[in-house]
Amino acid sequence: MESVFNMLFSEVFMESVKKTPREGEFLKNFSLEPNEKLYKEAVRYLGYKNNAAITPEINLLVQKGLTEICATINSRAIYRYFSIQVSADHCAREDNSRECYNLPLRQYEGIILMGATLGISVDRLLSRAQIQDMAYALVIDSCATAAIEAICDDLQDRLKTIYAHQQRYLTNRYSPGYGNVALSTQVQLLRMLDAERKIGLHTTQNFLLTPSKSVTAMIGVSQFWQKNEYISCDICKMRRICHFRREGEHNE
Amino acid sequence: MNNLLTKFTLLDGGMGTMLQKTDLPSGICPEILNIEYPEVIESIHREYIKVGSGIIYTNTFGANGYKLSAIKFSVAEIIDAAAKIARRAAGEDDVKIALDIGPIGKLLEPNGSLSFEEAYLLFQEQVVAGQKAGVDLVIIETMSDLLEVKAAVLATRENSDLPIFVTMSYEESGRTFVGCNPASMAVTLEGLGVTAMGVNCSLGPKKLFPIVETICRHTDLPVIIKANAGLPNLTNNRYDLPPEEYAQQLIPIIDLGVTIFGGCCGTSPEYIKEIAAVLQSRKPVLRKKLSFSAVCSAGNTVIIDRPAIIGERINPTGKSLFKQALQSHNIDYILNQGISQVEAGAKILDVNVGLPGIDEAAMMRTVVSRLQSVVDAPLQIDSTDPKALEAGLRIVNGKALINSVNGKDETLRSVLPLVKKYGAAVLGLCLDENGIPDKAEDRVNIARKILQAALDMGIKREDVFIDCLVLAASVQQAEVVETLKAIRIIKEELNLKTVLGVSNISFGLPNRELLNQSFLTLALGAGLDLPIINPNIAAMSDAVAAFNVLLNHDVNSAFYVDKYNTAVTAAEKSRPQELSHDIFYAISHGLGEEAAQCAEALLKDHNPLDIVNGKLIPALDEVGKSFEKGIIFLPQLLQAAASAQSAFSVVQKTLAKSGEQRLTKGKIILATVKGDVHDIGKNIVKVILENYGYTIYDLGRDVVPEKVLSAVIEYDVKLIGLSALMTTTLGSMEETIRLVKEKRKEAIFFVGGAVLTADYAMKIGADYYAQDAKQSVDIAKKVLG
Repeated sequence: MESVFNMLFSEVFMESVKKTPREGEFLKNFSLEPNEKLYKEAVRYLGYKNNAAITPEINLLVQKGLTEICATINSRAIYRYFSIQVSADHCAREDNSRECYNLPLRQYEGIILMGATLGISVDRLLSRAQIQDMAYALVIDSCATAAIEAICDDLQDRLKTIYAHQQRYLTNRYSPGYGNVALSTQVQLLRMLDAERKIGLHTTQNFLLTPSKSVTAMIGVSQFWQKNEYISCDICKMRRICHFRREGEHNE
Repeated sequence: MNNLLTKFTLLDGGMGTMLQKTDLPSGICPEILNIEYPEVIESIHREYIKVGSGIIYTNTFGANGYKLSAIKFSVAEIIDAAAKIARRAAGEDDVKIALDIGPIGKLLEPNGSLSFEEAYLLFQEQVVAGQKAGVDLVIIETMSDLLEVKAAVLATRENSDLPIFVTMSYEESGRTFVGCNPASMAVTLEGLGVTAMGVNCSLGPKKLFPIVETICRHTDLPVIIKANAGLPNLTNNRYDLPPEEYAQQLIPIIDLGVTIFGGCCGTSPEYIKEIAAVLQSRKPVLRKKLSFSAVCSAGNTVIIDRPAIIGERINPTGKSLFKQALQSHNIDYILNQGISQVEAGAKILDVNVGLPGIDEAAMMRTVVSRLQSVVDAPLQIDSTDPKALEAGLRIVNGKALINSVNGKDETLRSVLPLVKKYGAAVLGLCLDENGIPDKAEDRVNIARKILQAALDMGIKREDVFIDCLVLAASVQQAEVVETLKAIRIIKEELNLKTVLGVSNISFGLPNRELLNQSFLTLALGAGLDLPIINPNIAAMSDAVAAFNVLLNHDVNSAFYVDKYNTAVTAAEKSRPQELSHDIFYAISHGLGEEAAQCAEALLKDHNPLDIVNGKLIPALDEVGKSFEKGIIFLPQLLQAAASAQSAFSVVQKTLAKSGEQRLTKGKIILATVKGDVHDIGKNIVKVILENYGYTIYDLGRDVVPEKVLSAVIEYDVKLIGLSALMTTTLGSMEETIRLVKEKRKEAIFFVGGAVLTADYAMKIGADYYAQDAKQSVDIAKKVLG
């Protein structure tokens, strides 16, 4: 199925989001320790498919990289809940389009926007390493990516628990630039989170996040359990060139 | 704006908080309200004036050309309307109107992609509009990047005569989001001539106390606090600190000598009223006048109260590799010099990039900007060309040291105004039209002249440093002691900090290291504060470390113990190492040092070129094949490349000694295209290609098409590699190829990046698609041989 988020941040959708957030939280200083999961993710980003190929030298380098990244990050995150109010007018427009037909927007009563960043110190570390030792730079780049994803996973789990108490179900998180969510939605998303002021997260003219190891995402909130709402390669723009897929990985 | 230190000044409180309480439509740009609902803004101003605000901020926090680009009103229209509203609200009351300037909303280079000059122009537009609209002062607030503040301050000073208030926002860690610390803010902004400075937003008064306290310890200027009403609860959109408690928390801050108060997020007229009540019952606390010398980067303040090393290596004089790096725009080479000196203990870095034939000012700008993204040592801008000095000073993120003026009227006239304007410290050399005087007393007289000229210009005594100059012992042995004597007099009589380029002492004599170290120790004993040396030479940095222990500067010998406890002793170092592997093994296993040693050994009975073509390249090829087959992965490929590089530079040095041409297999330009700031892929390709012996001109990231074209022409290059990570920047890639091929039909492009495919590469006019770094080498071999 096409993701519900195909149309998120479309004009129709934006009109249906109530502008004042209902709730949210501002979190900082996630402490992150090097652990097995981070290690596994980091080596996966480096292209290693199995541990057998990892030489002792690379193993040491990744351990060192994880330790340094975990010590360098100055992470901050924010999320806010916005309720969605679908007016009759929007429903009419929905019904006119096949895409909207597949997207029971009315099933979603709200959306959580989130932003998280490792902070600018990681960018400095990365630029410095790229001058001194490119192999190590690549390793810490992967470690940093693993770290920001771990922080987002943490936040998502936390949200799942919070909303489960209210008998609400959450979708996966979708980021601008993935699936069919346009990268340019970054601007609106950051504004709605007041992310610049709250967590120091910005975009460039071309909608790249700065600091670079940052994530923005949205999560749908529904009273109903959405089956088939899993991350599938089919919804991804990168599916034709993704090297994980080339190597045989695939999410149905 | 007089009496800011001796009288309390009350600012206003939150504007956004007040707007949220109205029934205006939320979610619209708050600056539009100045035009569409002026009466609402006016009544908020009035409420603040009623409770005692003596300065009110115009509703223009986000009124810059970038943030307003999506709305139908211009910056000037919004600012004019906002200033008029504020003036109307003030009426006959003695209330000053401050033009509120917030952050632009995009990060400046090198953190983001906005250039300093672009930022300057955006601020200039606001200031010009504000001055025209008749505001009384400018307040630059909620800032996180000191460089952005500097752009705003310069834009204000160069386009108006308005007083400037600056407040930055700090996290509990004591730093802003981009890492600026309060001491650096204080030192830098006082130098730039602002009227008052301090903090706003982020936290409540209590948590801001340590930050405000640090600011008070680093500036004599009036200090501002405009704190939040505690911490926000994003669920109910309220803040947790009630007005009375908020005002009570300000009392310890009043005791620090802070005199300017207001409120930020979550505060309302009730808060200002409570503050007014507290101030009513108190008197401003007079702060003690400070006296200290310091330079800083945004994140690192170096107080000069003990000897500290100025690293001298960023300088092309007598260094052929450095000259080549400047000529081929190899900025990474220069940055590496900076990083390694900081790692070896340099506290300040001298930056000299002057070379005939290059645009020194442009190079200074580039090197300063890039350097401060990788090291946080303060910089010493070193040039004989005032244009290059100013280019560097303008974008230094912090307070720099200028190298140098001397006793000649001409340098004093051309350089001291720059020192004053940019709030730098200055290094004065004890020489004049007649050269370097032999006698200490005559050198001191020149120092006096420099000091007087600086004081006349309004530069503080603490910001004048003197270099008594070293003459080679081989030439003027009798004058060596004169230098030491001059240092002593200058310390005692003039009470100025001293600087000395030490290593000249040994020129023309054997065992230079011994003389350098001995002289350095003598000079430190005479009172030298800042030796300019190569910290990578252990004997020199060791002497400074030892001195700081013996003079009780390095308390508990903490630094010393940390440095030497684990260090390898000389005996261990000199133990000969057996070469256990051949060069092939060393490269393919990423053993850099060993690869270099192997190359050294091979040079004894091999021709340098044979080593490159017969050993290094085949080893790299083999590694490349393993990579293609998926036996090894990218980090290993890069390690192998770095090891080959170590071996390669050994060979290169031998060639340089024998005067042979620098080895190159051909020239390649690399760039990450306009709009894209993710350049790790390009840098990987660069490392690999370099190690195959290609000369790389790396234009960096976010590169405009015109720059690629001019590099192609300037360096006469046929093969160009472009990278782009995002689909949004593929357009720039296409445009770059089109522009260059229009002017240079023979140009050949290879492109790569996550979102590219071979088909797409052809469609945008590229000649080759490189899926990875290894393929880039294959392409280079095919095109250049």
